[in-house]
Amino acid sequence: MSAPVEEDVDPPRVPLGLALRVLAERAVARPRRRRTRIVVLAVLTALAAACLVAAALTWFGDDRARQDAAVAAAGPLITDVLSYDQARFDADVARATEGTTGAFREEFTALVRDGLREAALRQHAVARADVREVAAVGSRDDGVDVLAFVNQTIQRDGLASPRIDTVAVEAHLVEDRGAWRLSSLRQR
Amino acid sequence: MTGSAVLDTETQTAGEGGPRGLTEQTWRRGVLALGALLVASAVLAGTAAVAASRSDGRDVAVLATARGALDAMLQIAPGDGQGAYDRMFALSTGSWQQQLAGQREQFVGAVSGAEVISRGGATTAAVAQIDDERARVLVAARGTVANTAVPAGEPRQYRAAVTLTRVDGRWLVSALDFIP
Repeated sequence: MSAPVEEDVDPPRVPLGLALRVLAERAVARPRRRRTRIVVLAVLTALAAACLVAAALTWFGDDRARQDAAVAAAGPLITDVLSYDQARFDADVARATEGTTGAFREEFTALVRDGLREAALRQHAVARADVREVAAVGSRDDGVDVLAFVNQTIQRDGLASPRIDTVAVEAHLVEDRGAWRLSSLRQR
Repeated sequence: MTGSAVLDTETQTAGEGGPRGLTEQTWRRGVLALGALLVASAVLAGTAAVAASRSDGRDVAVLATARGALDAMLQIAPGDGQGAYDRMFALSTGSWQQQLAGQREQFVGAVSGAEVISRGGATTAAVAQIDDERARVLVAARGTVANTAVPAGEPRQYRAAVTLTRVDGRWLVSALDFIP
């Protein structure tokens, strides 16, 4: 009796032509699918990032915070521009000028040079501004508009008692050289 | 050569549809996480936008009422004392309304008797403080007031602090103080 011969049983065969075609299709489909997924992920990431940036800008770029900062700065700046003492006129004006910028800086400098300095020294004038109230009118691209109620007390030769001018002024403040500065000031 | 071995190998690595080394499961998790992040971000952005829009709308309404109160007070046509009073009263509430109610006859009589004519109105208004129920607004105004004593009229400047209260969704003036 001979030993049983082990039969060599082949697994089901797939025709070679079909296998090659499947391989070829996958070779094309795999990079395409990979690209699609990468694009999907990139789009999702970009959208999420855009939404986060929009939310952050809306919350933290809120005009209110910017306006609050401008309002806080406005009081001292307006006080400086509307106050001087003839005894230390140049120092007072230098400090006030430092708080101005742009066309208003030139306007203020011209006002001092063309009359205010001479008049203040000749009349021994002292002006003191008291900013009673300040609030933000609104924002523009370059800065913030504020409304301020100011009482300016003026004492000079020829006045029996100090004169108090009660005024409402609208100022525009811009951030310049790392600080808020006045770029306009006009009576309302 | 048979194709079966090739096909088996492909079945095992079929998940590598993305960059090399990432499994199908990792990709799905990544997409899900990014999707969730996108939804959360969109909700956050939407909430922030709605809040900002509400805040802007609230400011606009408050400023309009405060300006309107000063305009009503400073725009008095000849013989229109009652009309001016009614316009002021319509924008009032609380203690300011009570104050106006107590002075109606005096106001209307003074305007008519002195033949007061007033022209002018708010020039600038700014929100000093605000929340959902109350607001304080600064208003600068200018006007010209003529009466029997000064028929040609006299220019005047006004500075007012207007307190507003929200009543049934409307902003109304609950106090009005002229700043000396």
